[in-house]
Amino acid sequence: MSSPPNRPDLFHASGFRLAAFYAALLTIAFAATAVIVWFSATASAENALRQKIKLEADALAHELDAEGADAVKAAIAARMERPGAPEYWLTNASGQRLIGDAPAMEGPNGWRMVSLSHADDIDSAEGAEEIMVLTRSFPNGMRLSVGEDLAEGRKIIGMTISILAQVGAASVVVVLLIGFLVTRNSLRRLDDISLALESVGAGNLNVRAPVRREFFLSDLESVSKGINRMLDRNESLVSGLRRVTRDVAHDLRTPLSHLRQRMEQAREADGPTKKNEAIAAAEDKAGQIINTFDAILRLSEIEAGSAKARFKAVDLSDIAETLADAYGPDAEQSDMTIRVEALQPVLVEGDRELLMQAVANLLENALKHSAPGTSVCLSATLTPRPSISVMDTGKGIPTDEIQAVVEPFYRRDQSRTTAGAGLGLSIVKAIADLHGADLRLETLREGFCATVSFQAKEKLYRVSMTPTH
Amino acid sequence: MRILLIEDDRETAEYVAAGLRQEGFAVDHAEDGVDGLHIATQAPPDLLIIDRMLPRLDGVSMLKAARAAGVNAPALFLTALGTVDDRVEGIDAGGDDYLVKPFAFAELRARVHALLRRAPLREEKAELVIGDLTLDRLARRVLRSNEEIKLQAREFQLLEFLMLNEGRVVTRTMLLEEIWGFRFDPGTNIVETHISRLRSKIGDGAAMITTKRGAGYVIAAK
Repeated sequence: MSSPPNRPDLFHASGFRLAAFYAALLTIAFAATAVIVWFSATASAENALRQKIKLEADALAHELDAEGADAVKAAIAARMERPGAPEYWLTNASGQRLIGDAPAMEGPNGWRMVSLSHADDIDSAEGAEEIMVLTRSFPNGMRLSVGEDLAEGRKIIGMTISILAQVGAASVVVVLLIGFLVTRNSLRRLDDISLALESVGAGNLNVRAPVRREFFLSDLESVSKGINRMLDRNESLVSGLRRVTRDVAHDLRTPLSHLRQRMEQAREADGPTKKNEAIAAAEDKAGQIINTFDAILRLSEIEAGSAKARFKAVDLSDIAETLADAYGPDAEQSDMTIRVEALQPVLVEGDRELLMQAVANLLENALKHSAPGTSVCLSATLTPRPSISVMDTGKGIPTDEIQAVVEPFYRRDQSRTTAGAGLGLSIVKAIADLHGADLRLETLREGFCATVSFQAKEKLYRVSMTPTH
Repeated sequence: MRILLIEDDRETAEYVAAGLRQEGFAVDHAEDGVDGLHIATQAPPDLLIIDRMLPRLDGVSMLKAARAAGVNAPALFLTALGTVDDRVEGIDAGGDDYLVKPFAFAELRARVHALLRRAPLREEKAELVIGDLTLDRLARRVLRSNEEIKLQAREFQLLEFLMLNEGRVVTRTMLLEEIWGFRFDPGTNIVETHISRLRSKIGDGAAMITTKRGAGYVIAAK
């Protein structure tokens, strides 16, 4: 099995390219999120820190106010013992240290960033840390500085960013993986479809493109279905053509061989009477062959549609009456009656000769399939659509065969021993199609009804008037 | 009566010419449209039988030219082109009748007679009489031995057409076209049953209307 032509390789296939594009977009989106998170988290960490420092400074100021300098000193000393405590620096009015171990924190009132270096501190191996400091002076001349570093906030931010990076990387991998799998699957499906098409091209008309329901490939599923519908139609056309060809050959070959037999009989016959009989029989056979040919030609003539140019107003009621009149005596001979229900003129645009033939074919079928003593009803009505119908009380056609009976050369009797070319209903259908009318065949509880319904008159006029404007 | 046959297929031409000569007609034969037109204008015949597909000049163009040159004889197209379009085109070109190949000679013979008898006088006859059968075309009455026979409209038309062609074969196809306007061949015996009804109504026990097997019907005095 050769690989179908023009098949793109996986990494050049549109599906995979799309996935790669999505992965790149995802990377950019995650990076942007990280930057935003960085800035906003830093800002909010700083805010929180300021809040904390301010609370601390407020608490100490309150204590100083209430209990005096020594109490504050003791309180600070106690706080400095705790692990992770802020830095403090307290001086008296003359600027001397009361408590604290970071003289660098001394400065003007308000907020500042201060760089501390303490080689003795085992926590900060770098030896220097940025801390945020709030300095305040009190009425008695004492000055208090409280400071704390941003390390904790920074650690949380760092963790957030790293989680973002991991999730981002995982998403990119998943997207690329799905892209890879979907693309590989879709390429396989496309391969299957092209192989199916090639197989059909090679003559296996019954091969179909696979239809599988897959979440990511719903579009390919509908493409496959569309292709399959086309292949169904193709198969039915081709097999129809084959059957018609075979049937034409059969339908003409059989009577031709009968004709030949009759002529042989005529040659062998003794006496002029027998000879004449055989010759007359041969003539009948030849007539049958010509009729079959005529029907085939007529069918293709109708299908070619040139009769449309001659369309005139035709009264369906008149057709019903003419046919009832023509076939009436014949029906009576078989003890049947033809009833006409046509109360008013039913005008349609059409070819009278062809419509006459169509209804005659339906009527002949009805008469052929009805039992003696019954009646066939020919009716022409105006509503809901202009239509003409032929209804009999015969056995009708099984519902599953109704589609088939309009096919050329279809005969319900497969042995083909009955007369007729099997073209009657095909001709009716072709004539109905030519007139834009529908042919409806229904098997009723008691009998069979064939109806040809035309488009409503207004529509017809609209269609036929348009070109003149 | 002279008939001009313009037909390029020799087999058909010989078959038709032989048949027509047997009927007592003089037959001229041309093998292409130009020759046909030449003969038709030089020595106008009483009837033209023209094939549609002819070498040098096709039948329709030939007839148009002949009509333009003042040839008024009835013309019958004989052709393998049997579609309604073809027929309409032939009639438009001045053809009077149209017969599709393959045809039975009986059909051609009947149509030739019908065309030749389309004399203006015949159409004006108000009363048709054959033996003791009288058909009044104005009063639309039929009398047999002075006794009125009630006929339905269609039966009257049928009898009228047969009587207009007294002594000549009228084919089934001609009746279908003339009486019902059918241009197709119904599978059933509708003509036969109508004729047999007509026969019984006019009290035709002694066979005024006879059936010619493979050809059609003839009405004649007993």
